[in-house]
Amino acid sequence: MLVGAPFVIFIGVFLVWPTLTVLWNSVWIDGQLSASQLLRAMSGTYRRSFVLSTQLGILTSLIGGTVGIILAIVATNIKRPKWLRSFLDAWSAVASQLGGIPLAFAFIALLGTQGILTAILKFAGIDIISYGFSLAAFSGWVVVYLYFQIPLMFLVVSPAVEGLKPEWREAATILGSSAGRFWRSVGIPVLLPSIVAGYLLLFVNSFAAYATAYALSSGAGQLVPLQIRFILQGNVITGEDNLGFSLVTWTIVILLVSLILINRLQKRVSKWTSS
Amino acid sequence: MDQLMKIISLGNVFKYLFLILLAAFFFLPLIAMARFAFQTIPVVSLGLDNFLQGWTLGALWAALTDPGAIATTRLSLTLAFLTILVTFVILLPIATYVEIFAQKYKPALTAITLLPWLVPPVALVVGVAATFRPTVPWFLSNPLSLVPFYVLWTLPFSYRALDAGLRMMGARTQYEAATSMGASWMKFFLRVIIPNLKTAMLVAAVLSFALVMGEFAFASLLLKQTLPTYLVVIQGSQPRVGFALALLVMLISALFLGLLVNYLRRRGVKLNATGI
Amino acid sequence: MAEIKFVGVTKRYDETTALDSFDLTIGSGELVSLLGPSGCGKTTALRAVAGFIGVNEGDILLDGKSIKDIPPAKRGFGMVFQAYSLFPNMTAEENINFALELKKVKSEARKKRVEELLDVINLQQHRSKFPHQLSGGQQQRVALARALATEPPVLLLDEPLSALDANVRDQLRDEIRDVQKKLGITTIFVTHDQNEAMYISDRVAVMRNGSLQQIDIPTILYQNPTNPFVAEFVGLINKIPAKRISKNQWSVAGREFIARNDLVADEGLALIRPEAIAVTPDPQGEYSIEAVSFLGVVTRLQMQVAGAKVIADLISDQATGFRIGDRVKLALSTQDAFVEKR
Repeated sequence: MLVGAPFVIFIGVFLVWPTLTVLWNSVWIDGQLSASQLLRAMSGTYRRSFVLSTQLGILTSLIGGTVGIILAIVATNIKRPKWLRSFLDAWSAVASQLGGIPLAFAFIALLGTQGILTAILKFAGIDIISYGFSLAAFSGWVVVYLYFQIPLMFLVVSPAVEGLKPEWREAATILGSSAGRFWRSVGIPVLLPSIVAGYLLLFVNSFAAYATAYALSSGAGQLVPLQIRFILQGNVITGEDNLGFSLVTWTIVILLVSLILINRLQKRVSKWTSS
Repeated sequence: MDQLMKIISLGNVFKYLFLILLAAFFFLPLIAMARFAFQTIPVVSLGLDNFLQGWTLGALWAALTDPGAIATTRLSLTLAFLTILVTFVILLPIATYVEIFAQKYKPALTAITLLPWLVPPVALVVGVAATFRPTVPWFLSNPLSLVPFYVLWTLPFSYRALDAGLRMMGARTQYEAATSMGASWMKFFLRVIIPNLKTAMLVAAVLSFALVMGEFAFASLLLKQTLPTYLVVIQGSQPRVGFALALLVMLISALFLGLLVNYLRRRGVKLNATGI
Repeated sequence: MAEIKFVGVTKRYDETTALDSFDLTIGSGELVSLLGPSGCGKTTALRAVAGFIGVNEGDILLDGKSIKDIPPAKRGFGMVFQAYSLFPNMTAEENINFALELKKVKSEARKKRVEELLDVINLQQHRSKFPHQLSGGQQQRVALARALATEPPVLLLDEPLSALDANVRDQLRDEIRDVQKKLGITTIFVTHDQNEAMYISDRVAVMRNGSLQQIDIPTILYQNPTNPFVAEFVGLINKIPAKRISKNQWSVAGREFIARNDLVADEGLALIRPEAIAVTPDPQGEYSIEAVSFLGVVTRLQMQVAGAKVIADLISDQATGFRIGDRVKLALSTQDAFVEKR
């Protein structure tokens, strides 16, 4: 058991201790157990932050996830050119990790107020800024988040899509099934756990994303991670530590629920695919 | 039959249209960033007449010679190297042990390595500030204090890579074979596990490297000047240099990951880059 | 009544011809195996009947009527695949039920039919299991029940046994044969395993390079192959160096025989079945026994003849005296044989 000790101690010191401290401090206020800060973290501006982050998570997960699924289905059906498939695999692995500062910069250059596409569209008579589009606001975040959400979904569902055996399709066909009926009765039910797990993972990914949101809105956005930073940096009156802890606690609760669901769904998937 | 062919070719049109639109979405931002960095004419005065003028690689040169960029790149490289090293030192023994002797603990180990998904950087930093600041204040003042958090943060990816490698090499059978010939645990680890796990270790290393080189949240919240946080600084004062540097960072990580995927594909291994 | 007829069917892919003016008639209620090495076109032929692939030339007839332009879903045939064809999200009984549902069978009738089929395949106790909980053999039995659920006129079997363990394979092979006979359903069985084909079929069609080599009942196919390829592919056969004496007179191991085919060469390889070689003990004999294997009814002796390994099968009762190293002489119990290029 000695070989595992460094790992266990490491996790204990750097992950469990800080995390438990946060959870504890969000309910232990002025020497007694209290839900006051947890409730406060879910009211007023903070409540709006959670709503906003959740909306961003759901929207980018639905759009990015759906496009990712279509991409996975299209990719398995494309045989030529041969390099396209391996290019897609490689590119998705890259792009799903390309969140962060450079990505935000790239979109600022394209769709910022001084962006080249903004200028071209304006020249063509479409003034996206006057329509209310801004990279520093919800509409802009959605567009930029899709950049890493689409490839992440592609990576998550591709194995499941490839796992759809051609025999299933043929067996259904010869039994008299139409293509639509096959997808309704077999294709989608088989893919569903992977798809739902994928959507949830995208939600988690978006909810926790920090760098992109920070760079796009110069740190002043209303998303949950930026609110937490705001409190952490001591930009509010002292004595608000417990509020910061409560925001983190809620974040962890939301992610925990999503991750447990993902885990359940993945177990189901592995049963089907291992046969 | 002809009608069927028509539907198929129509489907093909949509397929390629879809791919072209996606390609535009993925590559236009990069092209725009390159234009911003390498063309000195601002967007407002850009027209059809001067579109080909003002191109220069000056910003790239400035980025490559910027002392701040060099210093922070060096720090980020050091962090990446140490992260990979620490990951191997603490993770390899337990991953190997559990795979061979304690399969029943595998779900627990897998769950632990997924915890970083549960506690995102911004959340962990709050806890770290509340625990380490009062107890070991000197610790967080050193930029290398980022290493343990980077090890944690890359854990979902590195563990999955190593675990896949251990399963593929059939570590348990290998162990039985090695010990039946009288090899000690240490000898087995160094002479059998490590050489057979080279590809998996390469995967873990490249993924960790790419992640650390782009990590912003921990560094920014713990007020450390790494390459990604420096990007924000330099973009504020010299936007074009900042953009050139950001493009460079993106292309280099893309290159590394791309080479890795290609290398794995040739060896018939699938890369799990989802970290779950 | 369901007779399947291939009429000059040709199927070309980019560079290969999978079926080359293929003609074959499968009588009503008959079980015909398509046998051949991989790439011989047997699977293509089956999939053309199923409708998964179109053909370039020729026609496929069901009871004299072309089915070429009928989509696979409308042909109403039953098919069992190599493996993994059960829908993973449905239990055994749901898989069978799905087939009936697609044919718009009423709910009451469906229930009754599912019960019947579960009895036929003897899987009542596993009815609520998902495919991943069933063994390979059980999965294939469910697949068979699903294919037969709607009482199709034609049953197509695409190497249904090839992914199974040997003992399960034999058992399921017998079950398929029994069910097929009981229902009298026209069946095409694709396989690369000649034992399986010989065992299960009314007639075996040997294919090569997209065309039919020979179709006959198993015994004739074995005893009287029409060309060297069939002789070699069906059953065990020795290839013994032989010399030409005159026009089609050849000699092997000092024994003369008549070549069944024209081979323009002075030397060749005679194709001779193990049981067509008579072995008798003879201290002055030219050959010596290298191995003796008891196989039950027959005993197999191995010798070297002109540098080639030769086996001879004897009825075990008559082979008790043979030991390794014994000198023997050989005779042919056949007058003719195929000769192949060396």
